[in-house]
Amino acid sequence: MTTFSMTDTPRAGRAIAALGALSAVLLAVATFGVFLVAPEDAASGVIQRIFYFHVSVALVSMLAFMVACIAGIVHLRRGGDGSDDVSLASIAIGLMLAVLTVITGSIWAKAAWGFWWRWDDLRLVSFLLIILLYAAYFVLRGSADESRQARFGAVYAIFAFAAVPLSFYAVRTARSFIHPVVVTSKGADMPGTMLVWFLISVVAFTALFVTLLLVEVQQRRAARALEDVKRRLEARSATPTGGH
Amino acid sequence: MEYVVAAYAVLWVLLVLYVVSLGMRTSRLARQAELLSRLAAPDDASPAGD
Repeated sequence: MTTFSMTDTPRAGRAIAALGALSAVLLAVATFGVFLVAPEDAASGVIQRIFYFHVSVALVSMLAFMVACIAGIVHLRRGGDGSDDVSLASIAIGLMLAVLTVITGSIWAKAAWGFWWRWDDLRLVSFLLIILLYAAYFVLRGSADESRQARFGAVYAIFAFAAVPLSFYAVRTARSFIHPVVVTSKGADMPGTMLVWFLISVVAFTALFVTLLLVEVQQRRAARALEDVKRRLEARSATPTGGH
Repeated sequence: MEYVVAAYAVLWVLLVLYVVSLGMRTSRLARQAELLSRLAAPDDASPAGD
């Protein structure tokens, strides 16, 4: 009897489950530490606690876009579905995290400075442009011919990533905005205990990203394998049996 | 404090929704795999020539 699995091997499935459990534990530890252990910021008070997850999610979204770019380069050099799966899944997860960055940042801005959004803040606007840029990726993929989707997607992922460091450095070149700069070339501008919980948050969200990426990639492989089996079954049922 | 709770609530709700959508997709694929296994089973089990 033919059997199918959602993962390549049971070992891969167990590895993803273990990584998922580790991510959940790390996120729980980070939440506990951020709310109950990390010291309150003297200047901005309790509102500053948004910083831990807001910046972690922003950094991991940029990491996701970088992974998509690297996977795009690998796809153009070697071809194959694997790197395209990684690129597509990375952009989907990165986009979700980027949207979360803007929402949590907007709530923070309202609490700290009294407004939801400022169009003259270069970093806010450049991050919004990144979201629009990567949302357009799915439009491009959807509109391209199926045989060219992976190639177009790879090229787009590489060029779109150029906007990510531009956004990152925009805050350092412009001066007329409200967004604070915490991580500078001289290191993190925060006390040691805050830095520890911030780093734990970054590690937790990175683990979550890797888990989601592996699940998405395995799902796409499984879906492709099922489509292949469907086609073979259809071809088999369409073939005349040749009875006498 | 309300703003902090709101930010965390939005973050977790969106993340949970994303994970739930992944779970739903996985169960849909599992159902398809189960169905295809059943469809393929009689052909695989039957002798090659009668």
